[in-house]
Parts: sequence; C-alpha cells; structure tokens
Amino acid sequence: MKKLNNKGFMMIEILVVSTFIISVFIYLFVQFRSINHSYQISFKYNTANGLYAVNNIKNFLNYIDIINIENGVEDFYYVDISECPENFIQSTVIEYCEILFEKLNIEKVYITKQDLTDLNLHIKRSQFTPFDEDTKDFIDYIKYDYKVNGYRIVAKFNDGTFGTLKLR
Amino acid sequence: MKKRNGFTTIELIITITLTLVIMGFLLEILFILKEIYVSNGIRTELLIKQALISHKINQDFTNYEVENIINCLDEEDECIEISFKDGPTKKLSIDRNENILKYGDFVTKLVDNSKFGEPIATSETIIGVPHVFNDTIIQIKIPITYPTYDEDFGINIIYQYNSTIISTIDDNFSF
Repeated sequence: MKKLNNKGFMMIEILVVSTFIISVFIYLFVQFRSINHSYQISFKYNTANGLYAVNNIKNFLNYIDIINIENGVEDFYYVDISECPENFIQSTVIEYCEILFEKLNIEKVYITKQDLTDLNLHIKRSQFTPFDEDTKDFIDYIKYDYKVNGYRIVAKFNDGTFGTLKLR
Repeated sequence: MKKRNGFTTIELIITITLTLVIMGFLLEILFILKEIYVSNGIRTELLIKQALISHKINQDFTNYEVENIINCLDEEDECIEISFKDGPTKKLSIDRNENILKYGDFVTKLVDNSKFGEPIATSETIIGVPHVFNDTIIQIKIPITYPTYDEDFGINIIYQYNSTIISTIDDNFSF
C-alpha cells in the first residue's frame, strides 16, 4: 500500500486561500479608493458656495476694464489676479478688489483661456509653475470646449475648494 | 509500519498563526471602512445642507436687485429682513434652540450635533471707487460647525451694488 505523506498539505492550503482572500481585498480596496476619491472631488469642486462666489468675481470683472488681463492671458497661458495687481486691475478699484476677495475667502484667482489645452500642456511640460498639486488636478478636471474663444475664471478658496466659470 | 493520520504540531501552529494574522488585518480593515462610511455619511449630509441653503438664498440675490436690508422688528431670534425690488420680501433668521434656519418659506433643521456659529451681516462701502462701478459689498455669513470637523459648513452670501444708484439700503443691519 502506498504510504500517504501528510506533511505540508495544510500549510499549502492555507497559503493558497490566504493569497486568494488578500487578492480579493486588495481589489476591493482599490475600487473603494477610486470611489472615495470621486466622492472627495464632488464635494471639493464647484460647490454651490464656490460657484456663487466665482459669479461675484465675474460680476466684478464684467464691470471693469480687463483688456490688460486679456492681453496677459493671450501672451501667456494664465494671469494670476489673487493680489489684485495694478498691472491687471484698474488702480481705482484695487482696494475694492482686495476687500471683495477677502470676503469671498479667496486664496487664488486665475484667469485663463476657455480652451485649457495649452495650459494643461504647459503644466505637464514645465517643472516650474505656481500651481500647487490640488490646483493642477482641478485644472485637469475642468471640462471645456476646444478651440472656443473666451476666458475663464479659476478660483481656489481658503477652505481648499475650487470653482470655475466662463468669464466671456 | 504504523499509518500516520493528522497533522504535525508545527503545521497546526503555523496555520493557526497565519489565520489569526489574516483575521486581524481583515477586522482592522472592516473597522476603518465602517468609520469612513459613518464619517462620510455625516459630512455628505452637512455639505448637501450647505449647498441647499446657499442656493436658496443666493438665487434671490442673483435674480433680483436688493432694495433694503433691515433688522427684523418683531422677531426675537437673530433675524434680518431682505426686500428685493420687483421681488419678494424675506426674513432670514436662525433659531439656536431648535437649530433651525428660516429663509422666507424655506425652513431647514441642521444636521444633529451641528450648530450655528456667530453670524455676520455687514455692508461695506469702499471710498474712492468711481461712481460707474459697484462700490459697496454686503456680506451675510452664517457659520455652521460640527464637532469632529474643522470645516465651516455654513453660508457666505456676497452682494455687490453701486450705492450712488441704489441708495435705499440701510447699512445698519446686523444679526
């Protein structure tokens, strides 16, 4: 009669089952992480508060002369007006601009072209941009029409949320 | 020779140890997931409430021109009354005892355990702005806090207007 060898059988069995269970859980974890990321984004980007705040920025910019801003965006990919710089904002409304941005809890405001293709390429290629990782992710997230003229407001708020609206 | 059935001691020890380690990791994952689920559920509720309140109030400020804002005369709660030109007149009030926010006919109770912070209602006119531009900013801010989060789940309403064109708004209102 052939001698049965029982050594090592139980260990191999448990190793196989463990590997299977761990693989399943890794898969589930990856899926969960993706869903959680989407959830975080949905409450961080274009919130109701944020959109109305960006609308206030739009109302302010629609009132003043923004030819310098437009020229700045055409020359480069974006213009940063977070500090209400006098080369882009009329001197008579700089104080108003600063107070408005403070009340809106603005951290950063950028004016870009509506078509963000060039800006996205610039961000990917250039090592040195003033955008932090969160802002880069948001700009990458924005859905836009290709080859459409016009400008866009991209705002980052002090609470870490973002908002964007077409300017013209 | 004797037939051997069963497992060696070493096999059993290793098997049981591995099983316990895996179960420990799985239980930890389960607890973490449960914590995330509960925490995200509450945060979702708070953020939805914030979006709803913000939209209700901002909608009127966007669609109508503000005619006047005054303190409510007959309310004991923190309350302001907003009149819109060619639009409704609505009271915005907060009741800390019941944890309720009212805006016109819209009444909403805050998420359990959340509470109102100190509301702000101000009007600021910036001197030196040319008459053709808006020169006054009204801010109505009602913070809402929740114990386990640092964030503000409240609203921040901003309204800009030209005080040389709209001179009816009394800037002495407050909560």
